Amino acid sequence: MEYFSKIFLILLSSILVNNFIMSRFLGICPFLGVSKRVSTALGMGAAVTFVMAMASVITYLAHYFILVPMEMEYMQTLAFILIIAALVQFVEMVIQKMSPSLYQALGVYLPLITTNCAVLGVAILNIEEKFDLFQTLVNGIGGALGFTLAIVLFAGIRERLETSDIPEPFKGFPIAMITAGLMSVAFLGFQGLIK
Amino acid sequence: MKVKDVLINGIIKENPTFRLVLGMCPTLAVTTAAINGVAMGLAVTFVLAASNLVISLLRNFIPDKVRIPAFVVVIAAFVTIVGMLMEAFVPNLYDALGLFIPLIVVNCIILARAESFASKYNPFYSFFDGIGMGLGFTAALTILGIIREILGAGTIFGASLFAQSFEPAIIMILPPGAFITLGLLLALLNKLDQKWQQKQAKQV
Amino acid sequence: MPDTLKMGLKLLLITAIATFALALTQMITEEPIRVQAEKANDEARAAVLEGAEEFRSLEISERTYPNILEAHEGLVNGNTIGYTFKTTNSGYGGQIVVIVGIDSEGVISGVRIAQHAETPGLGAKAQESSFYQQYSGKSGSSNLSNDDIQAITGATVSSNAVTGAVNHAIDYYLAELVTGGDNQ
Repeated sequence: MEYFSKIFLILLSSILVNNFIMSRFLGICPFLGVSKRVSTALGMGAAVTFVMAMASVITYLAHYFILVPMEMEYMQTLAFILIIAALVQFVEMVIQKMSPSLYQALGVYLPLITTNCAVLGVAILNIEEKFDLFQTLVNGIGGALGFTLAIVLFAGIRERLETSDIPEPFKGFPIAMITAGLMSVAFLGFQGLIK
Repeated sequence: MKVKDVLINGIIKENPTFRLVLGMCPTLAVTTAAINGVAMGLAVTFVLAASNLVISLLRNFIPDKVRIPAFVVVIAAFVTIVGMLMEAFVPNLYDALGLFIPLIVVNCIILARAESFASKYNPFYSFFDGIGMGLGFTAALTILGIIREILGAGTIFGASLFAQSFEPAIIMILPPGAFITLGLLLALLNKLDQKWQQKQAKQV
Repeated sequence: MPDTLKMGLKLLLITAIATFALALTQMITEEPIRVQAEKANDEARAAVLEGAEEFRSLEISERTYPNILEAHEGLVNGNTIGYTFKTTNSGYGGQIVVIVGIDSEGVISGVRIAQHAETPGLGAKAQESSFYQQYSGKSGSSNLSNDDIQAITGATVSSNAVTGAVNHAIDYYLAELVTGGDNQ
């Protein structure tokens, strides 16, 4: 029972309280880059969710079954990023075959998942927090859902912003940053959920 | 092409933070204090210069199809080396930057420069491009860090600026402060750029 | 496909060289990192239990007390004057490692943060004396509640994590040292 309440806490924390984008600042590049349309944001979110869940599990196994027995923990960063890069390539091929339209929409941003620091970040955090395999999976999925939530909400606001009257110097990135700042104030409100 | 131009390009014309809007994660996350901005910037500068140099040297050796994984391996190696050196010789800074040291690997600036500069130009220019970009990044992070530290904590590089009665706006060192400060700074730079261009137009 | 093979081999070669470079740096930095950590540990132990001339390490069952990394008995002329504990707890940005001193009267004699990954400027302020001094003098006869300590503004999670880590030390002290001491 205690175990399951811990799982629930991990999920809640990774989606809302420690939202990757809004409070940990991981994955900002795709957050700003692929958030002009709600539909592409959803697609990106789905791709990230898949990659992050897989990456969490595989890096966990690689850490405890390869790096630790060989006493090569210092290779962590190198090994993890290679695993993620390979995974992304794989997901790219799958999406290309399964849904050409989604592939076209995500286009250049798919390879960018490799450099989405949220994916590497979650892999490293899982090890630091000493999660077990199932907790690792939950944390990966939760983090990705949090990422999707933030990016979709943000895309919704940006769609509206396009038709608003914005002072010239604020157009583009500046207003996007300020919008993100206000959203992050809202996410601060979740802080009280977990003691 | 002159070395000076390459350097100035990175620091001002194509400033990675203010102009290219790359590498936002560490920019927003570690700039709660000026000193962290400086440290992060210098660590990134080292990795940028070293990886640009090596990637440029290898640019004819690395097959095009696997260039991204190859670049990533080179970058990851340098990042880990920086991390270990910092842990050994400046442990306080290492602790302060925490998770963001390994995450230098996924700093989009480094991969972007490898892809768009180092894989095309010779090692000499690539090295200086790394230095220029790195210094531009350092400058941007330091400016952000100074603003946020003054407003959010009432200190600059750890030294107290105001009397006890000054109540710092903590929101500035919380996540929202990072987004909002950077947004306002970008807008200010746009405005200055506009003014400058108008002035140029008038002179012509 | 010889082309693919060649590509793979080249990538492998680059990775091998990178691995070699890392192993080399690891060898060079291993010693300074260990020395640094040990020095910091010694200093922290001396700071949380002032006056102790010698520290003797205690055996802890990792299974019953997974959150206690090290425990030491502080001695003056062979007499125990207190204990120090190195405990860990989950903070906001990762694990927080805390050194706690409890004197022989069961009063917390000091707390220091040995390692953390908290947000700079917020949770990282737990390292400042204005925060950790609050623990000194608190009674270790029962667990501290989060309300006993004035949390760092904007970093309640980090503050509570430190209190939690101190409580791990108190748990061990109450269960093993207070009663166990009489039997010996």
